[in-house]
Amino acid sequence: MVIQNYSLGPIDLASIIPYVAMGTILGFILLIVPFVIWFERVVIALMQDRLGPNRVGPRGLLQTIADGVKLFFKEDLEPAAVDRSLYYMAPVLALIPALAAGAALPFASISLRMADGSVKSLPLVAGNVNIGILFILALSSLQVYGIVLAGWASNNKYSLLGGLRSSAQMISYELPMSLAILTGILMSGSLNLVDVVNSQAGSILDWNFFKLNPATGFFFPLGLIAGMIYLVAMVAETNRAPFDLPEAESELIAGFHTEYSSMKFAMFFMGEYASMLVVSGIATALWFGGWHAPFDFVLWNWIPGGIWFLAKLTFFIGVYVWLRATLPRLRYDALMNIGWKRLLPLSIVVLFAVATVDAFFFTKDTPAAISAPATPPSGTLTPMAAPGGGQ
Amino acid sequence: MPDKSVIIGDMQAILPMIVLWVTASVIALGDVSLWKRGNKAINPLLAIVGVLVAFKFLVNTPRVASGATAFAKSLAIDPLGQISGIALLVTAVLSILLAWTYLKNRGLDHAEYYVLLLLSLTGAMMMASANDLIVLFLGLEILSFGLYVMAGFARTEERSEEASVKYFLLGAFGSAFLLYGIALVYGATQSTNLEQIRATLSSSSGAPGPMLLAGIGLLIVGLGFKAAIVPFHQWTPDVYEGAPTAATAYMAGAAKIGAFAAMLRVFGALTPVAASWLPAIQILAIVTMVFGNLLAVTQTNVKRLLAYSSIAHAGYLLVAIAALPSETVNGIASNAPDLAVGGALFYLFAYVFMTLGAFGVLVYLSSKGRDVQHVNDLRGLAKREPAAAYAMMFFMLSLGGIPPTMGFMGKWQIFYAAVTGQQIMLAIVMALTSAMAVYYYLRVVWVMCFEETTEAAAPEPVARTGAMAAIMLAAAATIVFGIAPNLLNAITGMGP
Amino acid sequence: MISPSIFVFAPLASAALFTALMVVRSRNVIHAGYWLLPCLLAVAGLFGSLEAHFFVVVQILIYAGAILILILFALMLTRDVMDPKQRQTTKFAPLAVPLCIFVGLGGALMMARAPWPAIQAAAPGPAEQTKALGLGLIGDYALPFEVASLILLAALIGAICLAKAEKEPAAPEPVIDLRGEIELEESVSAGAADGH
Repeated sequence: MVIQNYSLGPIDLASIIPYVAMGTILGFILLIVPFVIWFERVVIALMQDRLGPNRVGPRGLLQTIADGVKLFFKEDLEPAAVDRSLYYMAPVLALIPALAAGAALPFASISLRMADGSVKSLPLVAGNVNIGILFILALSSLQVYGIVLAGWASNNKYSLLGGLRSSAQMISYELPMSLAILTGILMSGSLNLVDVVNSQAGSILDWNFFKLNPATGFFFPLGLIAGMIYLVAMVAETNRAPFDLPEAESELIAGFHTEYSSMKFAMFFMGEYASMLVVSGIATALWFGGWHAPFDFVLWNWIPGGIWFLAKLTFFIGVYVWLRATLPRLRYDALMNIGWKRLLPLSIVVLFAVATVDAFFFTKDTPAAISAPATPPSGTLTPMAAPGGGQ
Repeated sequence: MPDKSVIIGDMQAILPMIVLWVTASVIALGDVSLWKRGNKAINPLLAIVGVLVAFKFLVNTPRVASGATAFAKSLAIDPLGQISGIALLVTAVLSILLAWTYLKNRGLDHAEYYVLLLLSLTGAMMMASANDLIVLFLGLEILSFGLYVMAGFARTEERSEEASVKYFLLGAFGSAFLLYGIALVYGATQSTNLEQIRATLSSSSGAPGPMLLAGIGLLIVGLGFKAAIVPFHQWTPDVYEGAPTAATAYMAGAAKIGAFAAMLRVFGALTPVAASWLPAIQILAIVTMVFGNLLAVTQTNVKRLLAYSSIAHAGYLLVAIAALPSETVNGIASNAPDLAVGGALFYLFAYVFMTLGAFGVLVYLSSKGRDVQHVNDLRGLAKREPAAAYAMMFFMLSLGGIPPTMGFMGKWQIFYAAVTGQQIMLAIVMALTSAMAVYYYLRVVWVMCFEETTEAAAPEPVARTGAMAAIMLAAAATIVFGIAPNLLNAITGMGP
Repeated sequence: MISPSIFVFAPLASAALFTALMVVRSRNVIHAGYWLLPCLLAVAGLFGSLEAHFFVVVQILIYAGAILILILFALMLTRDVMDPKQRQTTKFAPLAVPLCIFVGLGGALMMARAPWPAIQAAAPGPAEQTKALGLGLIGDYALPFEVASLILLAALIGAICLAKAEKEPAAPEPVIDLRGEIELEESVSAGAADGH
């Protein structure tokens, strides 16, 4: 589907794409969250053989909206002994990084016919950063602050324990997650998420999760393992079941957000679901081909890429819900054991294996590029010639 | 890919260090998997084997004389690096032997000690042959990290913990100074490479700018912390006293060699602007010699005494540094820099043998319930343990610089270099303070020989073999190289 | 002449300075830790204004995302830190303040007056920048890069060595042996029960 590149004076369609993408992703994350919650409640109810929300709106669809309105109008309670400034900052810090991380997530690509008649394929992304994946990683690493802050500022034993658990857990699982992401980057050969997605164009066999196309790269079981590691770490990073120890209700009441009510509680809620959406988006873009269809098939080639992206995203949200409905919460030591003693070594081994395969079979750089007399990065890093000329 | 011969040359340059950290890894992994903390003797044995293999590779490093560099000029392959590397390996062998005995007697026999020792040794060797300030800093950090933990190795003892924390905090402080100094020197010369810095400085005319001066000042402070130069020495007595004696011995040797090898390199590169830093070094040398020796006089704890003595020795070594820039004296080319480097290296060897020997005697006498460190513990030693007493006497004489020991020869060489380099004032202070030092060294001898013991006999140590071997090695070296200093030069390839 | 970049630099720099000051001034050590977060982010912003995108991300990822969290983690596990009445300043503050001002201003003046060489090459674009950095790390700076991992190894082993549990010494004998008395009491109560 090709769209004419309409232009209005100096502004044309291509130049406003980032703004469109920014609005879309922000609006999408903020507006979809109620429906994700509804989806979760309905699916869990199905799995537990009960009805779930069914009163407000058709099939209870407006239940979460009603809940949101209720939270909005609730009294804003502030316990007596809290650390006020930090207490109010925590929910904000929990929400902002998740929303900001969405900025570097490319979720579709549109084809524009330019003025000269050529067709250009442009990714729909707010900031097409060259190191987009690192940017997302950096921002998602800031998410732990909201939780730790909330745990500490509440001045409550349970909250503090929740906050401590969460910081330990998120730091531990960030390592296998980063290494798995690095593996994916290595398979695609770029830090730019748009390039990563485009390297997986073709069919399902080109997706990094499978990657068994002998022409472009054959990493078959390795991508699968790294992808699975990412998926496990992604669930742990977002503090979702079965890794939801920071808010383990049977031990910690509600963990870090025990003392939070009304809109502040809602913001934690939003933050959690927003980060679920973002990490699922990374999984889609990094392992499952982003907006590319699984097969080149005449009947569905008219479907825009964004729909495919949304479908894959929904699948991962489904996985989240599925996990929550079926798996019991892990014990704390088991959680740490899995993270440090299983996932981390495994992800290092996979990274090395992928690097080896890549270096020996699918080197994209010419050898000349590697051996080029290692030019030190010029500008900021270069030891520049002496002002007086030197020897 | 880069040229194969370049890669081989690079690898040959760091082969001794690779051997050391591979040995460290083998011990660390083997201890938890293969011999499962069962056979304790295998750890020190493996460590010694590793050090000896590294020694073999270090001595056989090709292209030493040609002034080659490795890893894009970040590592120098030269006699200075090689010889101080040999001194470091000697320190390591002696202190592994001491640790073997000491840790066993004190019930601290864990493999981690040897792992940390070998790792920090790797860092010290990296530091000694660093041709780049970044590598120098990294080597220093590896060296220090090992030492911090080794100082606190007796974790159940409060003093050991205190030593570790004190050393860590002040060491981190010193590292920060050093790093800031490196940054400023980089800002002033646009390079962290010592060769490049020297070239830039000698080609630029005019007085050095304030940034360079501040950078050099911070470098002096940072390295001064590590080398325990007055007034950056306050940590030394407490850390030396609190750390397990075997760790103190290693610290005394390795940290000093690493720091002074680095100083010789850094100040060698800064020679073109010597006028700006030489006065500071001269003052520091005098202050260090005077205060180190004065404060040592009142000490009653042998470990503290040796700590102050190590400060004093750092002062003597600074004299050699001060003689470094005297490339021309009265317009005639002088060999003072060569004499200074040679003298400093010889002195470092002498320092290692006599200090580690002295600590070795303390280790030799310590047992499970009794950590010998007070002068009173040595009362009447000549009757109880004549061999140990004579060895101790010998090391004390050598530390005091009495001929025909190695300590005398070392002092003489530095003295000679100072006189050749026209540092007459420093030479005079050195001679006077050395005479002062004889007092407190001889007091230990006096206590051992002429005072009667008052306390009951201590329980026999469980093991003594390692310490005995170390003492014998050190004593033999002290006397042999004291009588025939050229022998050491011949063995290490040192000297003109 | 004022270059437009000052409008990016000035707010970021003053934010970094202000937050750094707050780190030192905070009475509550946890607050001090949290003030470090905006400080580190402002420094990341400064990197960004120099178009060093990779360093922006690394600054956030490593410093803000990992190191500071660990600092806070350690602070929260430290005793007495929760007590806001705990004194967090030293008696040397009157000495430190002028010293810091002197060192700070002196350093700034020194660097402002230093004869910086003109930048010879334009900074490479973000993609080339990352690539050049990578090539530098395995090329010219290979040795420091690899040696840094050795530091981490030493630190890791050292930390484990200091933190691992020492074998517990054998439990001391109870000072007063109560076993006999307990038996006595039991027999008495048993006797009382019989008598009842």
